[in-house]
Amino acid sequence: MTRYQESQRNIKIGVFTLIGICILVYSTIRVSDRNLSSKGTYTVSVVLTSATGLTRKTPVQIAGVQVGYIESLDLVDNRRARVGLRINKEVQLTEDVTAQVRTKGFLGETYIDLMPGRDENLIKPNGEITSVNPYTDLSELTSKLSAVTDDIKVVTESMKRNFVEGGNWDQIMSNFAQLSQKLNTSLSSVSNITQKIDEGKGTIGRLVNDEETIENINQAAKGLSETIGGVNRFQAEIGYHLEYLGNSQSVKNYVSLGLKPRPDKAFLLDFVVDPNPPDQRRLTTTDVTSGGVTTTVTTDQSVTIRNKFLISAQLAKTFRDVTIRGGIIESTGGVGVDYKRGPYGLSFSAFDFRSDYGERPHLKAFGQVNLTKNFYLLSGMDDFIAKNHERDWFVGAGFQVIDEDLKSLFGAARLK
Amino acid sequence: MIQLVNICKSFGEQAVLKGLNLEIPKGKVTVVLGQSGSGKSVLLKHMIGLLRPDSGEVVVDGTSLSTLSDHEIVPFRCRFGMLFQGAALFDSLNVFENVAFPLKEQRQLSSEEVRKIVEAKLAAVGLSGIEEKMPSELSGGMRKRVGLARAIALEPKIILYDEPTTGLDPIMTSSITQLISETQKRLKVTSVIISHDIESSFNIADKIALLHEGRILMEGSPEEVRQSKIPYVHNFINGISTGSEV
Amino acid sequence: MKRLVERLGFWIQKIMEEFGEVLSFTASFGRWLFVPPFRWRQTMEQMEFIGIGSLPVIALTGLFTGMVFALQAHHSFRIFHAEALIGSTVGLALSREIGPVFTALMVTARAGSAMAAEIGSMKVTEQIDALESMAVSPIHYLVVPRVVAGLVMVPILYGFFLFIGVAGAYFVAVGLLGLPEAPFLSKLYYYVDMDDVIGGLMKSVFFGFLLTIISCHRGYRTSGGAQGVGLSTTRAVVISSVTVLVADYFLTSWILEFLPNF
Ligand SMILES: Nc1ncnc2c1ncn2[C@@H]1O[C@H](COP(=O)(O)OP(=O)(O)OP(=O)(O)O)[C@@H](O)[C@H]1O
Ligand SMILES: [Mg+2]
Repeated sequence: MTRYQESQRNIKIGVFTLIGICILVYSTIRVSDRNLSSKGTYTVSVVLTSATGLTRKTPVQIAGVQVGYIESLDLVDNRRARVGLRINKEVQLTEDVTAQVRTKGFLGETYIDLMPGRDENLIKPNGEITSVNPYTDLSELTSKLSAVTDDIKVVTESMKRNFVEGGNWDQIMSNFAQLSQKLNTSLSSVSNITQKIDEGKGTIGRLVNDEETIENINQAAKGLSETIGGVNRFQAEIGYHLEYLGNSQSVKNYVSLGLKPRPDKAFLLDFVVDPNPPDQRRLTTTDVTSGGVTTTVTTDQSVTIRNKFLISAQLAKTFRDVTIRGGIIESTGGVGVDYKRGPYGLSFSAFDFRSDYGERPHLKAFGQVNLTKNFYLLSGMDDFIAKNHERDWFVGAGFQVIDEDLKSLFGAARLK
Repeated sequence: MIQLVNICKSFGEQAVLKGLNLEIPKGKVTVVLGQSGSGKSVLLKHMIGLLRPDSGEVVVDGTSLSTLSDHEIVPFRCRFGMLFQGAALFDSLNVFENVAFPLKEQRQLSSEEVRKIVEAKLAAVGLSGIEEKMPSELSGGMRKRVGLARAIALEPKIILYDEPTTGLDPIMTSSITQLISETQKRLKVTSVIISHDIESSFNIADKIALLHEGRILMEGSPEEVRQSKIPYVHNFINGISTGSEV
Repeated sequence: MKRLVERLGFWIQKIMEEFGEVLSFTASFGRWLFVPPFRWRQTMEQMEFIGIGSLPVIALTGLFTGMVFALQAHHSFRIFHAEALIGSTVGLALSREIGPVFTALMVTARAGSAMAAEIGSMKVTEQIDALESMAVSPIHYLVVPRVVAGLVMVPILYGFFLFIGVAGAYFVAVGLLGLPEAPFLSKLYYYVDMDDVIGGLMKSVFFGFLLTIISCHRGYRTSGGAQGVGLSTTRAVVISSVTVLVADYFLTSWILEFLPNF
């Protein structure tokens, strides 16, 4: 390749790279520019009883014109939501501005509506909007209605008492006053909603979209199926892991199945292929008759079976971070305890308590780190007090899926 | 000086070198003979560290190659030049670039100097004027000679030739043998030559080694080898088939 | 059952072996990366090959992916009268997932296979040995330029893919389906965020690295003549593609963790 060709090529690459970088810079700038203001923005916050349906980037509007968007969502006092709004600097909000969560469109697209007040004083940047219009939805309405019925109960009860016992008339009146007031607000809520439905303003969409509603429906359906079918939240876990044994340089494979009828109880089933299990001693006694004398000869055999197939079946019960389990471990009796905190876990098992030949129990201990919900690594020691079997260390890796993962795995392939 | 001590090398099940011992004297020409497939090329690659022995040691000028990591062995090879049996020309580079390659890699030379050296080396192998051709456009013998020009371009201290004259016509064979012998005399290089050409081998060799069944069956001066009483050696150098070799 | 467990174990062992080999290959790449001189000429050659060479195929796949995406989105969004969201849907999908993954897969198919074949045939014709005999590290001479070119060029190709894909969606939505232009663009700018593009860029840098190092490694491990070269090429493409898809999952979960708005 000549000098000339080479420089031609370098020019080509330079142009290509430059165009590519321009496109990338253009795209990032284009999309990061919220098209709000050339003068910049400021933030204010508002505390809501519920931020259901609100997300980052949800628009903030005044009289239908977008003036900002939601920047952050946090919890305050463990009960309410603080919503940070980023507002266009040209828009000045008065201190008595009122915020309300509203929905539009059939899909129930949510936005925050600001209604400016008449005050002269302006909200300072990072200030708070104190006036919030309640968001009316069906759940609130039902709770109000049930409060009304409670009040009716109180009234009728005191009426009964008073009429029968000739008691305090003032009391009755005040109760009545309270009741009618509550009825009023409830009725206004009802009219509010029906009006919106009449206007076709997204309440159905909101119902469809509202995660809380869906959650409630699910809960109800679940409870229903619990009472009808008795099949309560039965969770299944399927997993596989392998352990590479350092000393014997072999790989031990596990396929496991866990069934959890309740979160704190489990039935664990493992299939294990052990390439290098401890020897099995076998005593055989034979009577040998020679020269009229019968002697009993005992032969002591040590048998090693390669690639032995073993089964574990255990019942487990969890107390907070600690799980105790027991049953059959690797085809012998055994018990174990697991400790789990966050992504880290420690496990200890003791099994194979046969001691006919002075063997000691098979002990196994390991630590585990969950890399993601489904993948984990582990490492530990195996059979570390054995007398006639060298102690071994191992490292391993595995994955597990719970039935929800399976559902989503086989379900509609989601984008991302 | 290159010492090979107790080299064993297997490829899978097949043991090629089985405890081979050989010493390559400094500044001399050593010719390695042996039947096809006996492991000569494998032996040569051990000397430069392209293959690592399963056991045993290769010592080059007092440095054991097994003490060098893959990373360290690379600059160590500056002192070598090697002609591969299949020439191993870079097929993305033309003839000029191929021969210039070691010069550009290892020496700070102006392009004018590089051009001069390349032209001189190509002339020495009788291939002037093909600088712009690609390796795929050359004949087998031409490729081999370009490979030879590349191997000697740097004038290294040790040159390993894997069958430099195989596939050349008789005139070219003798002129290449001449070239090797001249280079050796002029620069006092240590040369190792693998050859099937018994006659010219005996002419230029200071030492001859015969590889057989993974070991050096016989080594010594050409005269000693010629006089050898070992039947296989005798048959080999005289080209006598006993019918049991194949 | 036992057979199944063993088979699974065998495969996992195989994968681990490959994984370990690639890791040590990566380590020696890292070691040679900073050894002077930097091979500009080879790197430029590879940049031309990976970058400019892949542009047509990237442009075509990007264009048609964007177009078909817009068509499909229109088909389902029409039901909800949410056609305005087509632009943002296509933009999000292309910037976050489809862009980096498709770009990486196309580059694998085009350039990764060529790398494996080229290095593989150099291996079987002793050219790699010849390089080494001239005190030149094949990693330094062959692998470093290719991987560096991949690192630089795949993200840039991702930029082209994204831009052309969105342009394709725009053409279908506004040009063919006659939807209004303003909501298409405003929703696109509104919902696609800088972090989406940056996340996609991070992914493509990773993918560029993975696919080049895996392809080079496969080529480097070639043995046994023309058939071996063919085998290496196939395996380079398969392993790179699978790795890209698996890595995508983990990268996404990490990027989700560290980029607040991704
Ligand atoms: N990379 C390799 N992988 C597997 N086997 C190999 C390899 N290199 C060489 N061999 C085997 O080693 C043996 C010796 O090969 P080598 O190339 O050294 O023979 P040679 O003595 O050079 O023969 P020739 O004179 O025909 O070149 C052969 O049987 C060959 O099959
Ligand atoms: Mg040979």
